[in-house]
Amino acid sequence: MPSRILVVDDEPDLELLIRQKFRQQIRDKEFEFLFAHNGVEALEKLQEVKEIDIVLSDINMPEMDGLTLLSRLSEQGPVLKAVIVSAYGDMDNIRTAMNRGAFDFLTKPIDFNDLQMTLNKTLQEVVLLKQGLREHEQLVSIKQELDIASRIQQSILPREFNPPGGVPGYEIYAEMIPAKQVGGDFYDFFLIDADRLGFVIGDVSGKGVPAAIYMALSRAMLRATALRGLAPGDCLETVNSVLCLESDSGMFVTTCYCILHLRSGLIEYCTGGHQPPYVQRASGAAVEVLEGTGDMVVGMMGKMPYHTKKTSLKPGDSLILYTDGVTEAMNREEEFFSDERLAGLLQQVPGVSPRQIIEGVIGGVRAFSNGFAQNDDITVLALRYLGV
Amino acid sequence: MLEITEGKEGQVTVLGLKGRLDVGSSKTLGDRLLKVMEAETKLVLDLSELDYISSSGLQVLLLAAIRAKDSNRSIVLASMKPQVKQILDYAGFAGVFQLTASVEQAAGNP
Repeated sequence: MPSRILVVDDEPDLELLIRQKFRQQIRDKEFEFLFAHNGVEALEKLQEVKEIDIVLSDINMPEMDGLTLLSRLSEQGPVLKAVIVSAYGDMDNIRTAMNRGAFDFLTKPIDFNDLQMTLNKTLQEVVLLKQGLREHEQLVSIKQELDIASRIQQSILPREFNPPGGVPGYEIYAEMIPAKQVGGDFYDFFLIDADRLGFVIGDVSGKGVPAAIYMALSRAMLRATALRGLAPGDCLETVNSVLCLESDSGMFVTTCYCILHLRSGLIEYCTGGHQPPYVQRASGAAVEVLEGTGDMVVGMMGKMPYHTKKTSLKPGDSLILYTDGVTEAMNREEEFFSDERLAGLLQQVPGVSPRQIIEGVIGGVRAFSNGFAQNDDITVLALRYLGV
Repeated sequence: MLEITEGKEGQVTVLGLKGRLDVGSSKTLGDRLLKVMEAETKLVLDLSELDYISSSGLQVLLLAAIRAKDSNRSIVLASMKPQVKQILDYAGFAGVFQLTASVEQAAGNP
């Protein structure tokens, strides 16, 4: 598209002269010239023809002079630039014009080489401004998309904590607080069959949109694989090989996948690069950390073995899964919330519901960090075995 | 902040890591590993002064391990503090890296 230049001058000869001097550029569609004979006509033209890039205006004109026109141009948007033409040596008017936002000035009689250079210089500025404006608009739209992504992501994670299928025997609750608009942490739970409940927590390396995409992918793959009823080690082994085939992005997910046998209270679990869960006993005994399976983070190296370990819960016992956003939450002194504080907090609230445990942990982390901005997602899942 | 020092234990190159290996420092280490590993068949990372390692730190080490494996080189992680050892254990590093208690031990094993 040619650059549009509106020439405002009451001298009728100027139009012919410009069309003649710039005939090459007009033919090459580099420039398109429009003409007005005073400020009022110029404003009308600006209304009528959109996307004019430069106004080249004389100062002394009937009806509305160039300086008045200048002061009205700011209403036309930020991109439009004005170049003022004045009598040689008329410094007062030139100064006024520059103060009113003129981009540059020329003196009469017009030197057409000088005009050409001035137009080119002004157009470069216009191009930059347009680009800046476009980028700003893109940023605004990216931000809106991020807000949407954030809502989608939160809606992927289950918010309904009543037992799926109405199968009794346990209570479960979880919370994920992303550090940015979209996070890389996730949790999930699902019935595998009438006696087995699968539940999982995961933490994707990295942040932002790439992490969120990887999170959605690994969560879906994990659930699909888990529903085949595989033991946790076998399940993560499968998910790991598939994720390794899918991407060599260098991203990975650390995850702890557990299966609760509802009738017996048996827990099978595998930790793929993830910290093992805490166990809080109904008896009030000291909070324990399960022994992890020591297996590799998931999605990084193919053909790695993953193992299943077992433990068992008595009615009233709870299992707490968390991501390192909890234990590595920082306060202003850059201290970590730490495993010790988490264990201490869990020790203080034995025998309460999963929801109370989660609220206790998140409340504890918030009190500790005391408004200090966190740079990692914070996710906790608690399951209390009730027995059937 | 992460400080990287380079030295020798016998014939073997030793990179010492001091401070925190996290999102702010992992790229620096990644670039350094890439460079050092071009010349070495065996590299020891002395972690005795490393206080913390985040998931981006784990990622850099794993990528280095994958490259090392593909080109028949080895990286040994030596002498880590208990809190770093715990993170590496949780991350399953024992299956991928040789982990040793001391730098001498790390350099000695072929």
